Amino acid sequence: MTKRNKSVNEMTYLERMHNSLSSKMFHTILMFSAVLSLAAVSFGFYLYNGAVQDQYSSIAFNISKTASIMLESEDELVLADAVLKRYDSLSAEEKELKDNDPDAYYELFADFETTSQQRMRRILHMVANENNATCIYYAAYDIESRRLIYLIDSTMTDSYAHPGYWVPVTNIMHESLTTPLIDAETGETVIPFFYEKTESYGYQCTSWDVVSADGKYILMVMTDIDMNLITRRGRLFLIQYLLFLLAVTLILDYIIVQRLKKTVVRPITEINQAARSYMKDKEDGSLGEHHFGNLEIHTGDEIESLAVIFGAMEQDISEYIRNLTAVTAEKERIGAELNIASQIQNGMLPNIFPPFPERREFDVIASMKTAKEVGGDFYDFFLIDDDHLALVIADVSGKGIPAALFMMACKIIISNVSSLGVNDPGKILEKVNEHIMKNNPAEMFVTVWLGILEIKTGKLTAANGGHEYPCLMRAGGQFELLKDKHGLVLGAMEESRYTSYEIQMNPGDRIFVYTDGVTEASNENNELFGTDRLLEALNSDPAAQGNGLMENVSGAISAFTGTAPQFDDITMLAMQYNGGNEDERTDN
Amino acid sequence: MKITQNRNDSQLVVSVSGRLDSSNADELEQAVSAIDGVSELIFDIAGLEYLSSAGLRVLLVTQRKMNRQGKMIVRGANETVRDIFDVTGFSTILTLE
Repeated sequence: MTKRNKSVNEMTYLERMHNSLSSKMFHTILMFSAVLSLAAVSFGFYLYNGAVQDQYSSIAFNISKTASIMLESEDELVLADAVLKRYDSLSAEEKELKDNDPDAYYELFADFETTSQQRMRRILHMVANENNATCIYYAAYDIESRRLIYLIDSTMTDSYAHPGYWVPVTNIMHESLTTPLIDAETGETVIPFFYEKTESYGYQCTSWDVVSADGKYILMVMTDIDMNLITRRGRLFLIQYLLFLLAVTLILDYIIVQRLKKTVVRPITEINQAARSYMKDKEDGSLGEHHFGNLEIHTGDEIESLAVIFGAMEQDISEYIRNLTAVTAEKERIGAELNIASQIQNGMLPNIFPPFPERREFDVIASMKTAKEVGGDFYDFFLIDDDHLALVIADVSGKGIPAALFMMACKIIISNVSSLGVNDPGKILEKVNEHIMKNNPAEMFVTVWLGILEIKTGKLTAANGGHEYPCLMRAGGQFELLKDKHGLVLGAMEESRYTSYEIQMNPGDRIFVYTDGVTEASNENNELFGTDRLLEALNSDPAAQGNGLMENVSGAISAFTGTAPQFDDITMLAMQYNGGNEDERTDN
Repeated sequence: MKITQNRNDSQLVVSVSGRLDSSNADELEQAVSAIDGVSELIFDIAGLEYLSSAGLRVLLVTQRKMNRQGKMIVRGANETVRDIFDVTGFSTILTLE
């Protein structure tokens, strides 16, 4: 037996055969036919039985009627009267002699077995024989005591019923004998009969014709017909009928299954095989397109439609896979290009520290961590001339490739304009803004903080184009936010004005600038890192130098943001002034 | 971020709330792209918690358009947003109320 929960993929070949559609169909049809045959046979038996009973009860009735006409003479009525009178005169004990001492009992009625009675017996016997009846008998029914008292019995054997012999009557017989013979509804005469199965006679049909009835006795002629043979014949007929039905059913079943195999099973099997080979090819990685497309199914029904749909689906999937492959390849190509772009962008920023090992007057450190492959932030520092160091930090609006392209342009413009030798950051930003405004179709803008350090004197001139506040630390002190004068972001308006301001840097003083990726780094609750946490991180270790300072800040940001993804580029730049000449240099 | 627009003849009130950053700035740019015939544009940003440079860019682009066809007012900025306007210098080009 196959377990119900076993999937078709786990079955053996034999199990699959057993569970195949044709096998299932064959069994279903067979079962259906068997049930139908049994129902037909049962119904047939019911109809046959009814017809046979009707027929034989009618035969028995007609025999009784014929016999009763023959018996309709004074003699018989007198005989009946006399026998019943004798019977009535007997005491209960004497009546019981019938069983206890039959011979003594018969002796009580011996005088009624006259020649004419014997003659009647013979006549009745002949009638019975002619009509295939078991026996015909003239009898009286004692309604009160429910006894049938025999008067004349056609039986010619020794076991015949003597006149006066009586038998108790069964309930079925009593019901039948006392039922009115005229139908209450239709007013028609009904044929009285009952069927009974007894041990001594087997299955018998009995009918009778009433000769007279006086309320105490019903006088009647009764006929018994043996039904055993007839029933046997009926049974034989039913068995033959059943066998015939079974044979027809099996043949029909076979024909139907063959037909279904052709119109249903075979096409489905073909689809099934196509699906299997499709899956196999898919696993092997080779995808021919015509597993379903080549199917020759022309049944014109749902199965053909299924095959057509599968064919279309197969094509769709193949096309989808081709597209997906192309898209994936394209994505990989873009990824590779972005990777190179990222390298180019990073290469554009000075990233070897210390950048000017021979210059001891200052230390510069910077870092940038982009949120995507390429970023919109940048830092920059360069010596305009021997005595002037430019420091730039900037943040372009937006992110990704547009921001990166704009950022590259801005970086170049700023370094070019700064190199002109103006050395006034405000003027430089105005010039840069002009350049940007000239060619800015995407209407992007950039925030810039630009500082120029006069190395000899420590004078730091700076201008702020919409950028974050710088953090300033005086030697031995703490980092504090420098609320400097702000101009508008660059690229927003033509003729924006930027005012430079000056900070006198003394040996050991530091300046730290950053982009909003630092202060606006947010945690999972959307809280911002903010300037307070930034200052705290900067001041957490006053001895931290260069890279250590950067790491303190980025460590604090990571601890704050936790698992929240980095959303913006994080860029920082720090510069420490060590003094205009070597003598003033502090070893902080 | 949630954007609601209320146009009354030539006046358009755009209410923005939530966080406006590069992930949804495009949405706002789309929303205020069709402002032909608007002579007074009011940005109600009382419910705005944060805006990034991408959001600033949308305000800037819109301001430039409105400079040509009427006036633009930015209303109800909270302290954080006002700080951002101050730092970026946007307070000098926007009409803040």
